Amino acid sequence: MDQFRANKGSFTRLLEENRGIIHKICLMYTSNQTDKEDLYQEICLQLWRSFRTYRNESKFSTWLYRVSLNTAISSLRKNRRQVETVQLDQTEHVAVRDSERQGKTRMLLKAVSRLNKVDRAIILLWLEEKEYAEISEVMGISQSAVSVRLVRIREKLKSIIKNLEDE
Amino acid sequence: MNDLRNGWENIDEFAGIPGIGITSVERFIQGRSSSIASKVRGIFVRDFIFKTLAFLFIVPNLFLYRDDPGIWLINAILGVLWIIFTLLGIKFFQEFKRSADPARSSRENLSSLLTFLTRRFPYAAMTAATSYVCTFLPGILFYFVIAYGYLKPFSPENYLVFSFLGVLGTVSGYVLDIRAVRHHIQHIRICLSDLNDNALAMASQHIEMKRKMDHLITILIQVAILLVFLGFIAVFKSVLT
Repeated sequence: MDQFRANKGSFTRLLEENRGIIHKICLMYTSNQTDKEDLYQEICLQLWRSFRTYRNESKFSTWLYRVSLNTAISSLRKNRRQVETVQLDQTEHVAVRDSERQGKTRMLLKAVSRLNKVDRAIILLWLEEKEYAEISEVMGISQSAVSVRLVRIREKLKSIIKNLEDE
Repeated sequence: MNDLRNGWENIDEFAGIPGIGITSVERFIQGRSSSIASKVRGIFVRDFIFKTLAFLFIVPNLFLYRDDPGIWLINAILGVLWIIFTLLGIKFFQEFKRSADPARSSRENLSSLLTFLTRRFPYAAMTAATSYVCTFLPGILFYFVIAYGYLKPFSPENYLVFSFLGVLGTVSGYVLDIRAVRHHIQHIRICLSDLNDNALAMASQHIEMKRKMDHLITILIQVAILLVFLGFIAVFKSVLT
């Protein structure tokens, strides 16, 4: 029981320290505040379940990204109809520090939401300035594949953003 | 592309997310989950609840029907089947836990989940569905001995109704579990093909390897199902004579 409490204490600390990362992952994979909170809870639950078996075999951040992104990729929408009706204003739940840059950030998230779930994970790791080696470790693909995928995803994003600007 | 990174850095990381304390962590831990792994875990949990119920019927039946050798033997057979199904259920659940570990890379995580759901889950669903008979049959026996103090003679209509309910529960349990997982398999396949063209091929290789190891379990399950139905026939035969 004491071990459990100690675990819970250190887990809470780690969760608090990495709140920002989890929040950004949720932003990438959801389109409204309710879904964001659901996914946040889901990731915390999976992190807790995996935390008990975490053995320092990989960097803590790698472990965190693996669990969080795998959870986001394999999460199923709870209420498809509800999500579809709010998709038009999908970036409304995003808070941006500088209001002048709001447009650019919202455009980025809108573009990212049109990528598939795997591409979203790869671009998120790139945006978080992770090395190719770490992206490869998280996703389970070779570094050269990461590099090729990133080129393709950035091209895709450019074209999506251009289309969005034209709309 | 630097614009993208600037936009990303500009997001307020903590907006909309409350502070995290022990209470909120406890809430997260107890919360309902919508991931594929959690949905499949839910199917195992339901199966273990049924198995616990079956145990709660079989054990008292062994005492309550001690003066009726025919019914006692049927209960004993169901008890043996219960042990086999429970061991198989635990084995499948452990395999599932290993397959669903999210701390591995996305590719490993998705391909091992796909392998489990396509190759092992049908057997797990089969044992879970057949466990229903192990709950239903002792449940009826238990009800009669508690309500009337003895096993009431069945009419041919009762025989038909109970057989129908037993078969319906087993078949519908199996079909519903398989249907629930079919959607998850499709989702994983899409993610794997998005991840890498080779990843799906790698998963197919794993599936083929697993297939070769499945023969023994197939035979065990077939024997168990045969025994359950023999038990069924024996119960009603002894009741009707």
